[in-house]
Amino acid sequence: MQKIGSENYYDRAFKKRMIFLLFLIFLLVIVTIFSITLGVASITFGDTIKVLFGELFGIGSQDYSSFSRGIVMNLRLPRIALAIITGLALGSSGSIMQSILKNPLASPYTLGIASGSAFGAAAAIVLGDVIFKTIFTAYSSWVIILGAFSFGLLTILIINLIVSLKEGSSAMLILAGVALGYLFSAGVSFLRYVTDHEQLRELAIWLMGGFYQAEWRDIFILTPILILSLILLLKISWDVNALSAGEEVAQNLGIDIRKLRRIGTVTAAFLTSSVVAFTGIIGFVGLVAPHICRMIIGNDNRFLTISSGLAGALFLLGADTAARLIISPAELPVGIITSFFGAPFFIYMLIKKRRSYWS
Amino acid sequence: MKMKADKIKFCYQDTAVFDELSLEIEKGKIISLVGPNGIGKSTLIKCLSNIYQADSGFVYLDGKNTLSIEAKELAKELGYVPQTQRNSFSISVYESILLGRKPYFNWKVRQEDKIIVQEILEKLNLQKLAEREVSNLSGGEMQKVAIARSLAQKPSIFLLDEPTSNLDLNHQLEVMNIITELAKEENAAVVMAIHDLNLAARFSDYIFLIAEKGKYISGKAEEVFTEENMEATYGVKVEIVESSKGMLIMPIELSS
Repeated sequence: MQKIGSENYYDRAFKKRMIFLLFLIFLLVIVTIFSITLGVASITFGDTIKVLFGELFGIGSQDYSSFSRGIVMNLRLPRIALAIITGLALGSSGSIMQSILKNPLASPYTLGIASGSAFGAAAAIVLGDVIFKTIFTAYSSWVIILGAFSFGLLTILIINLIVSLKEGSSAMLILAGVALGYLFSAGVSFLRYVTDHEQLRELAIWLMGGFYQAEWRDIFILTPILILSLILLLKISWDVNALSAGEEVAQNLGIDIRKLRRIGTVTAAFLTSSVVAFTGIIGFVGLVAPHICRMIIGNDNRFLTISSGLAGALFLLGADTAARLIISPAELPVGIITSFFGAPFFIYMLIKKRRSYWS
Repeated sequence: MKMKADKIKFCYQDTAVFDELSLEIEKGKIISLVGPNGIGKSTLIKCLSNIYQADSGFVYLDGKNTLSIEAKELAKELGYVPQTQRNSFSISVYESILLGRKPYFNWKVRQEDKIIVQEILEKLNLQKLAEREVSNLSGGEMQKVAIARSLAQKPSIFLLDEPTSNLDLNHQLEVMNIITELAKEENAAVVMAIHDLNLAARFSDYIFLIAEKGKYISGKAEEVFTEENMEATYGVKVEIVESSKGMLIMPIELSS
């Protein structure tokens, strides 16, 4: 501690961030393994490992039962994968939205994207049956997904349009998002009010959110979307850093701010509405995961985006595992767990952390 | 490097802030933009810094129209220092200065960039603050960090918006000394918008007084800061006194 300093400050900070990233990955692997072994049907740790190696890589002794194989491969693994993908998507989108809009309250939810998706899904559930009749029954889940996805994306496009018409600030973007969120929520309430019993149930389940309906199909669709979006978000992360010094400074540093904002918000919205379409509404992760990471590793978006994603994945996977186990054999909606444990923990972190990390 | 603004006009919602404004800036010289509140000093600084686009007229760098120069290349020539530092999410002093290297790399910080940041920290005596959060600094320290960031851009022209506003005497002098060094030692051109006429008179080579829309008076401090010009521009009767460090402009009363 002789020479305080700046000399190696960057390298030290870099190392700390890398260690944090690796630590998150390590934890995620551990939680994943535990999550696979835990559940109503008891499968031993050894059997789980055997199934994983046997089915995924085709190695090891394949002396496990087809029951174990079915539980691990068809029920638990897709569900776990969906929870991880959703956490990665919501955490990283939330983080980039906060940074781009320079607002600690920004998240896929405050921007109205989730409400937009919810309205899309609700419209598909309620109107799909009326318009498409029998065809709808056969493809209902696809229609719901398409509805959620297109309305989520539509929301951010409308917001961007409003802002570009008025050359608005980031505060305006958030206000427009909040307003649209209310509009779509009213739409959902209206649909709930006018619809009949059967559809109402389906709608209520979708709005609750969760991973229990996870299928491998979902994973195959979402994985490429997630990877492409994350690459794009990482690519713009150094430019987003420059935004933290103020828009004028960023402009002087050679950044096209409007383009950056558009790329960032549309990518984040695309990613959010893609996962929301499959999982329903899962709140809180997109807001909290980035803040916890900001407290630990600071606000360099090159590390923050991916860390927030990993923290989100860890949080959601943990919550979903708890949701499966707490009142087993029945299960709780995951949203209850995320808020119930997440909110007090977040408040504790806010109080404990004295250093202000946003201003 | 020489910068020239040629008959530029900037409008804010249909009202022209300034019109037909021409200005030349040479390396090694400090120009102070002075004038009443709201006359467009900050706007002019932003037009010259490639933050705002002039509605008509052009800015030239060594005879080349800045519109034809890539934003990234322009960022290596023009270093802008804002009036106030507003960080949304706080970052450390080191990282804040590192942002000035933005035009030079896209993702990975190179050894070269770290060395440059280190040199700037030492030059401005900021080493001890390197790990502190910018949002926890005092006004004077923040101003130095903002200047440090623009230094990291390695620009040939510095454009500063009110660099001494909100600073105490000690920091005013420290910041003005840094600015003088930029011009004299780094041979950079410096343009600053400034309210303090005494600091402007003492530290600049030329004064550019924006008197009213379309009326600009430029020249050496003694030529521009006359009792008549001050009264006409600010509506204040002043007394001009000689001190050991040059002229002092003392406001006496509002002119009737």
